[in-house]
Amino acid sequence: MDTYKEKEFDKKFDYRLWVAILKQALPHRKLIFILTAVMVVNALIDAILPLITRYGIDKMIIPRTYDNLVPFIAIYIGAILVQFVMVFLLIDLAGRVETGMNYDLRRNCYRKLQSMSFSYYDRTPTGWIVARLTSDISRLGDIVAWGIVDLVWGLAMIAFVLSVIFVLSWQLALILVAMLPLIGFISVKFQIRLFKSYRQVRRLNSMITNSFGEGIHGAKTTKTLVREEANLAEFMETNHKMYRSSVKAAVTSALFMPLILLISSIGTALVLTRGGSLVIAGVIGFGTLVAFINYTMHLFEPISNVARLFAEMQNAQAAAERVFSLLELEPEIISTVPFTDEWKARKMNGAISIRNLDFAYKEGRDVFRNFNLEIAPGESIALVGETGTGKTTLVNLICRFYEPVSGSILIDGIDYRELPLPWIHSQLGYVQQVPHLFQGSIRENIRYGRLDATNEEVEEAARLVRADEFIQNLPETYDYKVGEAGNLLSTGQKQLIAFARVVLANPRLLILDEATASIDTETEQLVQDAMHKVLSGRTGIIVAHRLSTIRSVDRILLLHHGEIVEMGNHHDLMKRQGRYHQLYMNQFMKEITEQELAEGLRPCS
Amino acid sequence: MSAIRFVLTFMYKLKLKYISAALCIILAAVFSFFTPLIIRFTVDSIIGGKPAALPFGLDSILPQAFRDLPTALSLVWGALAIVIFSLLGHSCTFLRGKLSAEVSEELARRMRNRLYDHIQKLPYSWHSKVQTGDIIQRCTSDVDTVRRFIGLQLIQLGRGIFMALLILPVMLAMNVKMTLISTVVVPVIFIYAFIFFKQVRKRFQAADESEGYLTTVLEESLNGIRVVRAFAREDYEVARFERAADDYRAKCRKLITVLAYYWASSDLLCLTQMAIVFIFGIGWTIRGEISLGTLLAFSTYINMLLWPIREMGRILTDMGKALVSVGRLREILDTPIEVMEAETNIPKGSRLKGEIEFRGLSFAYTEDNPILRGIDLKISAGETIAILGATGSGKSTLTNLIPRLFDGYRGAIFVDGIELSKYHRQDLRRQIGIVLQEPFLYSRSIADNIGIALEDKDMRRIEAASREAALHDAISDFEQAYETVIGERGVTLSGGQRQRTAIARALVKDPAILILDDALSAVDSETEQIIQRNLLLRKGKATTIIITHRLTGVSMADRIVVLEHGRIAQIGSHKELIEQPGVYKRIWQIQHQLEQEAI
Repeated sequence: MDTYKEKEFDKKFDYRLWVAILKQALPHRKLIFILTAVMVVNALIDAILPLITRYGIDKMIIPRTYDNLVPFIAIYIGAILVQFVMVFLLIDLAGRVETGMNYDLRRNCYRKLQSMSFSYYDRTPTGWIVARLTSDISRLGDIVAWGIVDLVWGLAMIAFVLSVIFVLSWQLALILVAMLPLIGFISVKFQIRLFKSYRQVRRLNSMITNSFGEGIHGAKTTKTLVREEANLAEFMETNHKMYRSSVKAAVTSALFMPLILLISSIGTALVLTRGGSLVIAGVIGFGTLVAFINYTMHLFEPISNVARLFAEMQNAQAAAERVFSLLELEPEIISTVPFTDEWKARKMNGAISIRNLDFAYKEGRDVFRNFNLEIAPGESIALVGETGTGKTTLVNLICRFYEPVSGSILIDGIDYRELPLPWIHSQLGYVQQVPHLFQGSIRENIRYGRLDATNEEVEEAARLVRADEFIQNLPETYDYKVGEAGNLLSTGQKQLIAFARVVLANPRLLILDEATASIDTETEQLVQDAMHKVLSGRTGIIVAHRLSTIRSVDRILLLHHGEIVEMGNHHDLMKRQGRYHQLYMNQFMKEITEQELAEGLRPCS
Repeated sequence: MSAIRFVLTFMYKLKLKYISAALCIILAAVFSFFTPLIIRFTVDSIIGGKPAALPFGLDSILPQAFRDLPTALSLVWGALAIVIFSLLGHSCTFLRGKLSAEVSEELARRMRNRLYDHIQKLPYSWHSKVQTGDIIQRCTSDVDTVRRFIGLQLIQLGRGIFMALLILPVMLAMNVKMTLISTVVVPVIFIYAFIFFKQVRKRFQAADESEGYLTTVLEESLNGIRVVRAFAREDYEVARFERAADDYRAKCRKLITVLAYYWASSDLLCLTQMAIVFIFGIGWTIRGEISLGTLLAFSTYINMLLWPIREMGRILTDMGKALVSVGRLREILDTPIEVMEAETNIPKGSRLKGEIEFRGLSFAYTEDNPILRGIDLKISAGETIAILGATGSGKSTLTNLIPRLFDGYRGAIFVDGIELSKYHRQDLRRQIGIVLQEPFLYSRSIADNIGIALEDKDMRRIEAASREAALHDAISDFEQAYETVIGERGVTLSGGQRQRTAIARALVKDPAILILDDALSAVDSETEQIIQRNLLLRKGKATTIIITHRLTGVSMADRIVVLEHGRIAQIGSHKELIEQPGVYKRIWQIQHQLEQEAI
């Protein structure tokens, strides 16, 4: 479980990771190249604006002449206009790189996710994956795109300003250069500290969010356990930590700029003292001094920019590590056989043999050991047994959502690892216990079974499973929006829709995993009829808690700890009076209770 | 106005700090405004040798001795002055940052504490109605919006206004014509920012919504991965996701392009203002109307003025957001909480007998839909009662009323002969153990969850309770046993395990009244029997109410109550009920018959 903890990413520069990040930026190299050029021009103009001022002072004010006014205005306005275009381009281009990279990363991650087997999804919480594909990728794109902007601008600016000031007056330039290491050192130190503080704030913030969530979800429990004061005390503790870290981060951040500005004003003061004497001595011009004072300010901004970038690179590295850990996953189930048109046309017979199957989710915790089972084409079997005896696992293995650890599963006489995975999936229909519906209309959800089905076919399928009746009573019938995960429908209604969906798909192998558990007794009777029709002519595997639904299957398998302990049809098993009989009786009583209670009091004859 | 009063209620003992922060801004502004003056003085009079022309006749204050200093030495004095004023100014800036952070973070802390406390004390009927995501959003994002407004934006706004008030007179004192020229574009920059950010808000929203949709699509396809695979719809899902991702990209691109136009044109306006200052300034300097130092001072001041004013336009549009946030927070805090005061306090350590009586009890969540209609029932201390009834017959509502989770019933409920409303809610609840069908567990260790109602984490009692709930073996199977953390990042328990944890949690505090609200529905029949046997051993120690669907569950009850549409349809012991015509008898007969057949 450690994998999903927020790791501390205080590692040093990870070379391999940055190569991987740059590879992601490769498709945008043209844009990045232009962006770099734009940034250089942008920095150049930022660097020469004080020079233009100097030109005005030295060529006009000092000699008291208007001669150069026209070129001065022309150059000034020209520079401003070029800057206008550059600023627009830099934001727009960086935005393009950012959004483009984010899109590519999201697409690649998503495609990778589609190739991952179920075991990955069993191990990995959905929230974790969602966070990788949303915030982490956003952060990565943001830092790469705007990092380039900061880096290129900062470095170019430093280079330009340094060369200009050395040309202007090397004596004064040396004063400023002497201060650079100090500024650089302070900046990097501060930015790293700031980055760590803010990360701490973010972590505490998500803890506070969770606390609020628990406070609301668990309100009833909290009240009945009289936990209000204790909960508040715990919350206040977290909240106090949040206060302390936030203030710490804010104070660090509040200290940074004043400190840099103070140092730069010391630079200004030194330049003024030394420069003033040089002006009086006639070594440099008046304008040169003024330009120099301007440059002291311009040198410190790019340095703090570059420093911030260094701090953010740690952040980027952490985000990148998580994103690439997803992108570099190896799928456990690989379909080696190509899904050719020939395969697409081929129908499954539905003969399944399981031979010497061993399976375990975790090493040392076997679910199946040397399990064998033959299912004839067109046969319908039912798997029953207590929770945790491997019914759903067996079904998942047959669907090749998982593969056997050892042993083999044959479909139509061929080891299914030698069959194309998409072909297997295209031939089977699978209805889950908690059916998952997608946001959208009922029609869209049923059509998910066969994307090119007509409206008539969709409604036909719904009629067959008796879903039509409740659908007709909904406000917009088939166009009724089912809400997030189908939450506007009851579980029973969702199961009927899922059933219609699989009927529409017309699979050769039909698997019903507790598919009718939440349908009320009356409807279930109707669905039973439909199930008969649907199951005829194809192989069916039914997992059921509710034993009344499986009385008519060809064979019932009672599983216990991964082994078949009883097998036969309903009649035989009842006669045997073993475990199945016991299970059946227990359940029957419960069902009768519910049914009677639902019907309420009837006058007794 | 009431919004301001609301925020002020959280500012007690902070106002002085906040005023100090404001004072620091003023000082910082004053100091930062001196630096250009000193540069100007140094450039003009020390280096240029011109008489200094400080505004407000400041130059007359300058000591004569200073003017007579040798140039090189006065240069050093000038430089020193720059450093000192800069040090003072930046210290004030830092102090302002520190103070405003302390004030605004403390404000946020108090708001969050108050919200959390208030939410916990709101009646349960409120929790059952609200949308959790929305409330969490208010408690985090809206608090943050208010915090940022108080801590950063209001301060920035104040600074901008003060700077303008400080700099304008100085500029006017130096040169009126130059001042007019220097501020000609400034209002345009301000109005432009204000209008732009008002307009662009829709685009921000569109991008946010698109991101939200992308997340929904992603979550949905991940949650439905089994359906996707089972129908081999990977390509379809990839296309759907890519459409959503592409839409998000497009919305972001559009937003960034608009922002690019804004920043570019706003920069253009600012640079134009600077250019105007320089072009006119140079002209006037040549003509001798102003000094070079004045020109330089103006160029510095205009720099100080331009950027804060550009920000002000944005902040003003954000003010609306802060007001909306305050409104959303008040909505929560203005909802009245449960009244805790009571006439009867159960002394600490004493135990209720557990006698319960409902007298003519009626209850409705909404006027037109009565749930309970005239219940009369007396349960003696230590009795075990089973309640049977179809969905919606009022079983859960009846039991929820006992710990006073809902008020507003008609009729009366007595516990130990005292009307419920006379009890202190929490005193009463401490004596009641209630287990729900879908129990809520805290995301902490299993031991913490079971022992949460205990004063101390007594492992012996926790283990004993967990054995009674037939949970001990399952827990021992976990790698970290009782220290296993439940929740998103920990182990997920099955429905049955969750129910059993909740049962252990209720048993551990040894309540006077124990309520099991369909609490064994997800437990398999074998385990159920074990738990029932254990409960039977406790029989008589607590008044026990069991809501159940299964007849197997009622066998241990002294009396069985059959509820129908909020009324008691049948009541009596098992023996009595099988003699009476009615639902119970019929169910019993069918089962009996089945058993006969089976043997």
